[in-house]
Amino acid sequence: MKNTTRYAITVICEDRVGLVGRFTGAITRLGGNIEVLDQNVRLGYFVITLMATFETGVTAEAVHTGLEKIDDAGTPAISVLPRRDASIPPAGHGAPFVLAMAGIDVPGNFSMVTTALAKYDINVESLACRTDAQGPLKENRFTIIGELTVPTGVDVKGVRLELTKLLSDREVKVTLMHSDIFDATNRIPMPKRNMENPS
Amino acid sequence: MNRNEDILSTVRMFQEENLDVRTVTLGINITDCVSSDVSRFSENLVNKIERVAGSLVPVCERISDRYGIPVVNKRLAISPMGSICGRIDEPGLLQLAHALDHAAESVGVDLLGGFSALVQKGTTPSEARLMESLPEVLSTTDRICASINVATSKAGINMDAILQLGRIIKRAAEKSADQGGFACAKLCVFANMPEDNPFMAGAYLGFGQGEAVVNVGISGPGVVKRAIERLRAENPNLDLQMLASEIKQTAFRVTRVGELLGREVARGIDATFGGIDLSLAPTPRVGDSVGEILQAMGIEKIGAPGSTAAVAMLNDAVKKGGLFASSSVGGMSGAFIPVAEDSVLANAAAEGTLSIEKLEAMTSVCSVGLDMVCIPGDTDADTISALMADEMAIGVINNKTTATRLIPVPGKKPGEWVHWGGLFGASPIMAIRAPGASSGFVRCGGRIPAPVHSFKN
Repeated sequence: MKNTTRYAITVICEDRVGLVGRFTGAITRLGGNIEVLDQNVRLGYFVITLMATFETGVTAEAVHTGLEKIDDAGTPAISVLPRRDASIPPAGHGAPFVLAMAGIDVPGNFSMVTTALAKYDINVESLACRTDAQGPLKENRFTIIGELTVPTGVDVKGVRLELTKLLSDREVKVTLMHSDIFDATNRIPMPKRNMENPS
Repeated sequence: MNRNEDILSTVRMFQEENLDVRTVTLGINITDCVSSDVSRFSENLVNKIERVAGSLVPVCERISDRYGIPVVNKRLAISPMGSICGRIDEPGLLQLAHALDHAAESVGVDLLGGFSALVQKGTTPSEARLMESLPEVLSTTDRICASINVATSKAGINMDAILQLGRIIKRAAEKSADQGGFACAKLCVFANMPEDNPFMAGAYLGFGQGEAVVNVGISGPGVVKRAIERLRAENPNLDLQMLASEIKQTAFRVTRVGELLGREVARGIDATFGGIDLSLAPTPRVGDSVGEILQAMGIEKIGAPGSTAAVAMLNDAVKKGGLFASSSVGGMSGAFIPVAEDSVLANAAAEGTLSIEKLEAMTSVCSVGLDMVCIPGDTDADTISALMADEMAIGVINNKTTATRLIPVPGKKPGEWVHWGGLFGASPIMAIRAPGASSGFVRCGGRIPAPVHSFKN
């Protein structure tokens, strides 16, 4: 598309049936073309993040206003950020790893681990946390699962050791493993190249 | 993208169920090392092993660190020495064994298999010399393992070789009497010996397998045991089909992990990936026992009625899961029941619930055979041969691999214990029913002909 502007758009509002159709329809009516979209429901909230291109001249404010009208049951939290560069940002360079943490829920687990990961330039691609109430007499337990990109050359064993050491005084177990392991153990093998040449 | 439940279930296998890769065994073709000059032959062996296998241990460690999965044992297997040693005499064979022992040490592996002979239909003079050299070889080296294939479903059972091996095993035990007959723990006698087996003491690289081949043994029995325990805790009304399904799923996962690492290692050392052996190989560690799996399945005392059915179901479910997971399954691929190496089996033998006869019955439905079975030191050679012949017959008639690792422990009587420690564990001496009553049969020698159903051309 020539003479276009690309916007990164995020919308959060209370979930109900039909929201995806309404929001994507609004983008279409504004003349936008959706290139990337990620949607889920978290804790009862509808969360959608998308990247779309519009003809130059369609302002961020116009997109914002167009989307506001869709949610007739409340006020959605909307963010429309223009992207100056013409291309979709590349995925992080490195190998895909999975972080799994589980244990007693106390404040600080998230920040402690993610700060340590950042020190190694490990990018968090996605992170999900769940907390399970164990009853009035027991402490709550949490589980965090994250997808990470670990740059080539990072000593993964060293990172594992550091995370384990960091959490040693908490009742938390942490695992950092290459995503190939999870693909291998959870998918039916197909005659494809990536089994031969894992990244 | 994997579901969170799947991720957590995989994580649990590592954190709580000790998932590992039990062994990575590099098979090396040594036929190009052969020389009639023993010193030259030895030098060629050392050079080739150091060249081909020099990076095996570092690569395994690097990949193990990267994936966070322990590779417990790194080992070597070579072409069967008995087929290539030509006119080399027994002292020469001993020299070759020491050269191999040195080479194995220098590349950091704990065992090297392939001091082997394939004599199922007949024994060549060089193979006979190799067999005669075994007592000295196995009692004076640290890492060398030997295996002799005395039977196949196609050829029948070479009773002359079995008769000879009965005497050789006695001599090997006597030569290592100060170690409880330990030399015999490094000698496997086979029917239908697989050419791509990664487990010791029976590993060797068969002809036609390639130049450098990585074969992998999957995780030990602990993972299966804990999966069964978890299933039982979650399902009080568990039936055996559910149990079989759980074992299959677990076998699928451990096989996939083994294949992933095996292929990575093969690529890292510029070797071919051969295949995965699905055998559940126990160690004397608590929680790493096939006996514990049977207990988790509901057989309180190993050897009790039901033990054979339980092993059969376990073996079959592991194979089904593993075969679905990989198209490169080989080796022995079954549940091992090596008495000394499995503390629960050893204790059952001590309590008297597990007898040699019951073990023999269990081996008819699993691999490998009368494995790491300690017998009285005064057992006569003919009786040892007869025990081997029984086990070989099970393999030949049922078209499967069977083997024996029989250890007559010098000076020990039934009920006494021998302790080796490490992977080889400890065992009570098991009583043999009616010893000395089989000579008339085994001394006939010759060959038990191949069974009628082996003729398939």
